[in-house]
Amino acid sequence: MSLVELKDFSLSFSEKGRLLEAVNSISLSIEQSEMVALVGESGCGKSATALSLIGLENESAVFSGHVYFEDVDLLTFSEKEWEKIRGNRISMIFQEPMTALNPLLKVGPQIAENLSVHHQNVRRAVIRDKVLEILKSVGLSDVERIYRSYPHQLSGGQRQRIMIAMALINNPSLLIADEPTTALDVTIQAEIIDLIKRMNREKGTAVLLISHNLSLVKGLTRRAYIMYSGSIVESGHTEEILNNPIHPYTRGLLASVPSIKSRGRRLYSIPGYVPSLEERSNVGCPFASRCSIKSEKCMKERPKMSDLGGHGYSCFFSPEEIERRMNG
Amino acid sequence: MGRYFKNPSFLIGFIIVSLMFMVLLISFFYTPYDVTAMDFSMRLSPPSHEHLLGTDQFGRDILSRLMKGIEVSFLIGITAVISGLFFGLVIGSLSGYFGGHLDDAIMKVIDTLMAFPGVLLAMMLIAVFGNGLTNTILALSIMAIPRFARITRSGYMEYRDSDFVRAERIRGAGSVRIMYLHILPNILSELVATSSLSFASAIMSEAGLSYLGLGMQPPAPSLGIMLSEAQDYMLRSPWYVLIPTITIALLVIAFNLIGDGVQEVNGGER
Amino acid sequence: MDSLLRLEGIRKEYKIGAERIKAVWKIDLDIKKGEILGLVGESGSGKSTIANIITRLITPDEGRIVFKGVEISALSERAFREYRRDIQMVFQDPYSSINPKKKIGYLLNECLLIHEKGMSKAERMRRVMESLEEVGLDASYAERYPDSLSGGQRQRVAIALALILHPSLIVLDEPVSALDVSVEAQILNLLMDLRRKYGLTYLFISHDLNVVSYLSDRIAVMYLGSIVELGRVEDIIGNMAHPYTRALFSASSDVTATLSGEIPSPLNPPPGCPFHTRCAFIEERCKKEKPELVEMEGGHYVSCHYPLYNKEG
Repeated sequence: MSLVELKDFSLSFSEKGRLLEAVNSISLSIEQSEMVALVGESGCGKSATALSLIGLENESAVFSGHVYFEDVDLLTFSEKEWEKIRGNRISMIFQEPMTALNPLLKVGPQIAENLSVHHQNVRRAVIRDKVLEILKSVGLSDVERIYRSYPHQLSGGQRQRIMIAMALINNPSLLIADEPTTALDVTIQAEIIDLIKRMNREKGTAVLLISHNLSLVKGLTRRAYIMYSGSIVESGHTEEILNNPIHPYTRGLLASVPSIKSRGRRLYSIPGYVPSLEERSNVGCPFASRCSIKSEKCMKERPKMSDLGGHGYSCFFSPEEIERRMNG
Repeated sequence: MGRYFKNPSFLIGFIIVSLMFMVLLISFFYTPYDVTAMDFSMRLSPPSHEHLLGTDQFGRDILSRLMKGIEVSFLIGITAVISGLFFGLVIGSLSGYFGGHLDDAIMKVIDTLMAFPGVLLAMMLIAVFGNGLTNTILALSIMAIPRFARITRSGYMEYRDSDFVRAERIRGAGSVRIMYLHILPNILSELVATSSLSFASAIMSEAGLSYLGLGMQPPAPSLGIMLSEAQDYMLRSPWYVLIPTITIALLVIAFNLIGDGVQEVNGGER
Repeated sequence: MDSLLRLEGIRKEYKIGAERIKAVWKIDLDIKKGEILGLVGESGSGKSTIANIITRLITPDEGRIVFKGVEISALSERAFREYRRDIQMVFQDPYSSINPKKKIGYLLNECLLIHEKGMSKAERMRRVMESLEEVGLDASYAERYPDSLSGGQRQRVAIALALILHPSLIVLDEPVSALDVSVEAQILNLLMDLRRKYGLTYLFISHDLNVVSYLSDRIAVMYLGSIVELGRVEDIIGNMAHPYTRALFSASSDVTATLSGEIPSPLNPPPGCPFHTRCAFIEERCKKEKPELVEMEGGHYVSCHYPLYNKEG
């Protein structure tokens, strides 16, 4: 049994009488204590998917398909049922920890509150010890002082550690990390990544990493799904995808990352830009408008996921054909 | 502009103001009777074919006086807004953009002015300058300045260190260009909303002052004077007191609705 | 190569209430004509302060700025005007750096109005269209407002605005960090094309070491208001001498932590070497004495008492 299983999951927003599709029939799964990445550029639907997994999606959202968490369909949940598992079985950390922390509450009581919501009969002193312990476990020193600090008195890195402490205090089975390091400095980023890795190892928490950063994904996750314009275009083992990308979008994305190795050469760049929700068309391959190897068929029909020994891709062409066309 | 008319508050306010404005235009060329012509045989007569809104205690035609009264209200509202807008913009922009000691000094004065209730301030000014139309306009115009200065100042403080202003400086734009060609368009909608609200409060203040006998003086037609004169006959001729009351209320509500509408429409995008 | 812009002993402190933030300590930095100098650092390193000082948005407390042989830091605002157009800047966030209430064409035309007083209207129009074309936008963009543009398109506009006055130095302050990966490559290619075409000099400020090492000729690494290492990209990548540089580069390439602890606050910088609180190779001397930036060999500078370079021979 997978921990999480999305089956033909779609998500639309109704705006001015029109239904705008943010996520188009995606399927993905996360096993117990697995680290999985959902990769894509802004507006590809990765964050909308993540928010649906924790029941925080916008009220105007219209869902279809299934989102199974331990074999229960979350899409049928009422707000009351959500409250029981949100922060308890499924937790989330965000890009900017400052916005997710209450600026008027001291850090310690804020974490304690998360604990007591779900365990109402525990004594205060016990809760306090537990909070201090978890603050230590996320690599913070001087935890007594931090317990009494307000969020703005702490640095970005410390706040993100606190977010992680708060997310993990009830030992959830799934942690959703939405661009957890984007707002942090490079050297601090590395520490947070290490922390997430360690927490996964020690507590067995499964992690869904939402990111646009390919090197981050590479360092952290075992499997990855690449999203473009509301669809999953490629999936498989992270190493495999990054070393042998199949889909023209993934190939383009990897080729366009600058590095010391590409010095002096022009970078490959995918032409055009990511279409906005309003500009998206529902016919054809979502990537067709920017694809350098598209054919007639790509404009009319949506390709299905093909599987190549655990490496999935949604393109009409075979990997060899894509390779030939892109290099030719 | 079209998006403003889709806003119900703005639309209703705009319709009422337009109707009032038409009345005002007509009053330039035509009023049924002379506004000061007395006719003691017709004292306090109720609305009739001859006098559509009846007559007052001197037998003067209420409709004619109302038309001229609206004219006075608009005149005062427009002058107050123009002067408030102009001086408020100059003071507020200098204060907000340059900051420092200049800002401190200006804000002390503005805060002092704002600490007084509006009507009290106008009464003090009138006590100094004397009453009558010109001095009422003068007093209400000065009163309108602090509000505009505050709004403008906070707008300029918000934008003076923004990226696009810094970019303009690097491209060599001078302070005047940045202040009035670049920052001003960004706070314009707030100023429009403030103008509308200030218009409403100028009308209110004029009515209040005239009612207290400090603004316009009889026999000049003004909504405030009409109200003050009518209250003695409230029981005998209720229409007489109702007419200026409803007109003042409509005008104030209409301008407030426009101001709210403008804020609602622009609030959504910011 | 000749120096285009030289910072000599630049120091800048900010006062916040009673406290003083040492934003930039005492920096010497030489930007050579035609080069791309990458300026790398984390938050609080002072790299944005450097950008603001070079573009004269703020004045340093101490030090000289020499541009094309002229000490521009000694010039009055009026006398500086003729150099103003020569030093332009592109900001990180293309959403906040373009006035939302102005058409693109208005903004481009305005640059010419300010600096090319005698230019005819037809000539200005031609230059506006030309500069749009230069950054890969067609003439119709002149009539558009910024809010109808995507992030990438806006950044192209920002580049056109910096370019229309034909400057010799452009300060690029994190110009691609707000953009999507696929758009980032487009903008980087554009910047490289424009430099080749006009012989521009760039000061490229970034926290992204991949981008910096891709396009820079030289790299300066800043930490807490000081330059800790400076040199040609090959020298730095091949032979990192400062422990901080090494930590920074290894963190960005394989995301494993090599540093512990937080960046100290510039409000309360540590005595001695600013990096000593996080350094793995700390010795007694580092806590007391601030190292100078010294040349190790052929243009490779480091400020460390015990550079790693020497240890490995």
